[in-house]
Amino acid sequence: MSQVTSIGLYVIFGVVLLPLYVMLGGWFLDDPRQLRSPLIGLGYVVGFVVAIVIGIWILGFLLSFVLGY
Amino acid sequence: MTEPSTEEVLAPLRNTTWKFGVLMSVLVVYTGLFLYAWYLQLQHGLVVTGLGDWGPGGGIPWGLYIGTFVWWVGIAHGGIAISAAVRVFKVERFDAIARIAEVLTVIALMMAAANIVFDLGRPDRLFNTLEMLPSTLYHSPLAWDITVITLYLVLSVTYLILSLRSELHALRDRLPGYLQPLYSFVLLGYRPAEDEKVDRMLWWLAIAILGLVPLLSGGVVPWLFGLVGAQPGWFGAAAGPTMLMESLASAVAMVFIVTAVFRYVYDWTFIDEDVFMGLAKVLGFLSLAVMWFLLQEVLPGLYAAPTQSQEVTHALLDAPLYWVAVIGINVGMLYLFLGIIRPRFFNIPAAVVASVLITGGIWTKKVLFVVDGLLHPTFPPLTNLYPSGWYVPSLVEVTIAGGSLVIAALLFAIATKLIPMVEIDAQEVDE
Repeated sequence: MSQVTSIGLYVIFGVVLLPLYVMLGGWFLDDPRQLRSPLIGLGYVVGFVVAIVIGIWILGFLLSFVLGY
Repeated sequence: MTEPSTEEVLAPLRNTTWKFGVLMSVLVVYTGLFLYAWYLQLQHGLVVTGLGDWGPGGGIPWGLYIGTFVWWVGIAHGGIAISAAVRVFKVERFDAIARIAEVLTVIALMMAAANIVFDLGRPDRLFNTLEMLPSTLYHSPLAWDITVITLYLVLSVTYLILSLRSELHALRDRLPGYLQPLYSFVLLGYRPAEDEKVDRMLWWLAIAILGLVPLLSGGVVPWLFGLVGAQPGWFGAAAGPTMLMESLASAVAMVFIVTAVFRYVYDWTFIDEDVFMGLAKVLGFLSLAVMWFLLQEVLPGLYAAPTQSQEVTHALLDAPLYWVAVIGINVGMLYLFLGIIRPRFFNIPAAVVASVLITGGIWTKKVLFVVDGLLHPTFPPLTNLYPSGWYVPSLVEVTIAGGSLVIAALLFAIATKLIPMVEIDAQEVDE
């Protein structure tokens, strides 16, 4: 039973993120091979993830004022 | 497709008409109404909605918001999938609508996420969903959903930005001065020599997006429901493919509507009837697939299915709204096929109405799918313990869920003032 209920890591990292791995492989290994543009692309990806995390924190914080908590 | 002139594409960025002002005013007024409704909900809690406690309470915790969330996620997929298909399969016919589809995806994902926030009883605890992710990811489909939707949003925005770089560099001097900080962000570290590499990166990004579509709209989102055993109607091997078909049909319908609006408002006749006919063909066959999957749900559900599944199927068929949805999808689909077989009957305004019927029907069907499973907790041993519930969305709820549509339109209107809505080849920018 525990195997079934802990399946999440395989689902996410083993299946759902496969397209991301393929994309990153293509970015860094496909021709014309260079490092600069893929790093800029990766910078945007990581930057947006961080922006979303911070944005959600700010939204929650602002909502706590409206809710009076 | 006739090639658009740079001037035509840049017109929305450089000129603002009185019609745009009127449109913005209407959207802003409704947004005010939406904010007031949301404020009421925040102040008083979900008691102002038609939602309630599941089980002995006879209510349902998921309704209009979650149904609308699923609908928006579906629209998000089709949008960028069209753009990715243009890049990967070289479907040049749809070149002119690729950017519109990309922007639609980003906005649709934001509205999907917004509907989740609306459904939370304590949205101020939103950050907890991320804080707890390292432990919830093991077992919670909701945590998977947050992860994958975030990934999809990030990849969509990155796709949009990378595809904008070379053309914004070429057009920068002709774009409004107050937007230069935005363009500087998009052009971070830009060098003209990168164009070939970025084009290849976009191809790989398109591959990733096309791969994610069946894993999200036909995977993680249907698993939100299919992995919950107590709700009849939510589980089924065909649930993923069914939802994927509905999502793609709904999305193509929305791309059709938005593209037609752009063509009408800006007189963009370079998006010719051929593009719309192509979309109509795709939409017609996707709608047919939706009906085929519907048959797979209904016939086995009526014939000799387990008691709880039969009850849900009967409840669906007894709901007048279900028939409104089914008839809407069919009327829209039949018109599109008529237009395909006899092109003289095809015209864009009528096909827009058909698209509204199809996407509206699918939205209704999705809300009913969410609601119906929760209203009939007939899974033993709950059968004798829990009453069948009831649900009618309140005015506050309708205003908020409808607000996501209006805010989407508002964001689209703002986007037309920020970036060119048709992709221009940087090499072909004319004076």
